[in-house]
Amino acid sequence: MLSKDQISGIYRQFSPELYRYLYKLTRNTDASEDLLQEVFEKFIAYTAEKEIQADKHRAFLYKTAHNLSINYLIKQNRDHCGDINEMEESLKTEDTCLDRLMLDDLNRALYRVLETLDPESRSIFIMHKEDGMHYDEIAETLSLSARTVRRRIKNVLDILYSELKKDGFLT
Amino acid sequence: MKGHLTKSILIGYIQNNLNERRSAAVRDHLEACDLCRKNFTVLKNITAPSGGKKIKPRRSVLAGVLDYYDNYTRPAEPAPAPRRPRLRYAAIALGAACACVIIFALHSQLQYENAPLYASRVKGTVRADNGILRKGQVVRPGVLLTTGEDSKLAIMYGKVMKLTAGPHSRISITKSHIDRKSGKIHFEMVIDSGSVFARTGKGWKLQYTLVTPHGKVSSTGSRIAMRVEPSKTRVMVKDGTANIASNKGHSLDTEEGNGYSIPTRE
Repeated sequence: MLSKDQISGIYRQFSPELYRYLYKLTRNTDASEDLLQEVFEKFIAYTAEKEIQADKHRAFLYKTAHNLSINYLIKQNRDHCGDINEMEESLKTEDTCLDRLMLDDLNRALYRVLETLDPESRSIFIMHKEDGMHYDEIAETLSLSARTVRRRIKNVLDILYSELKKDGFLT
Repeated sequence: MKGHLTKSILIGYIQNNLNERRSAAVRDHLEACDLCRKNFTVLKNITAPSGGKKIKPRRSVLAGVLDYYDNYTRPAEPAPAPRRPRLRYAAIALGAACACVIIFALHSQLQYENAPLYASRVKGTVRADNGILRKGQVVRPGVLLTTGEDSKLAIMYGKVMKLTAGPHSRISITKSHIDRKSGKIHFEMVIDSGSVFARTGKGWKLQYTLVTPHGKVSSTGSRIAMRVEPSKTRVMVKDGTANIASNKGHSLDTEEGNGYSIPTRE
């Protein structure tokens, strides 16, 4: 089992990019923090039983984050409880400053379209876009073929192109 | 290249899917055509990181992870069963059968059945009495739940009831059971401080009461937002009505969508 210091070190190394990925995917700071914590809890539980080579830590964390966030997004789609969530939102104060992140029109439109896509394609696209992961890297992380990843991203780009053209971002 | 670049050519170019000759032609065209260059820039931006303010998780997440590490225990391997003389098995089986019959008889006579709430969401450190509350843990009546500065909690009973608590909340569950005779589900919670949101599912026979130092709010199915302050309790009711009673003995039925205060002194 990894030591507490090692876990802290791995957390400090990977949590910023994982959190950014989770936030871009879920668009919710609370959910991203919950999922991030859950990712590391699964990592602790897994490494207590089996050893993971140091160079595979990132892939393991991403794959877990991908799986957990897909489950979260599917559940969110199923569970429409807008009003109570709005009431819950009123508790928050920290989210208002994060809203400034997405002031850019194009990104807003982009994420609006991304939210309509299936969770898996969305996750793959965000890994590629926000974390700069190449097709091979995503494929290795998610145990897919690079060809599948490339095709998925092409499909997303196809949809984005058409939708953004409707919104006047493309001519 | 005549005309403008199509969607598939631009995407192919972005993905490095075109052969060298074609890529060179696209590059030349982009240099010459303003419209295609603009489209290409937008498409390039789509695949580039969004940028903006750097975001990072709060410290409470690391604290939660390390806390999980400290409390993590490997699943214990089952210990080999001690050998016992064979004759004892018959006596044990007979005893167990009798115990089952007695328990069943008693159980069927009992009027109330437990309706245990469980923690569906735990953010940051939430205490259950003196221990740390974990996601998925069952919360039974008598337990005092305390949320910290950055923490948040949701407890629920199936699709029947969900209670979310914000930071600095102190909640103790005093009642969570089903009346076998009437089929009605009862919840009662004491909120000493903090903010809570109570939400119920539709179509259930339900009665829940939120007790605060200033009074209590009872409802059979509305959604209630409540903030308990030292001098008063503020209540907002949505979807339905609730009864608000102060410690002084005054009570009123709320109107939907209105906000109310229960002060210490009236």
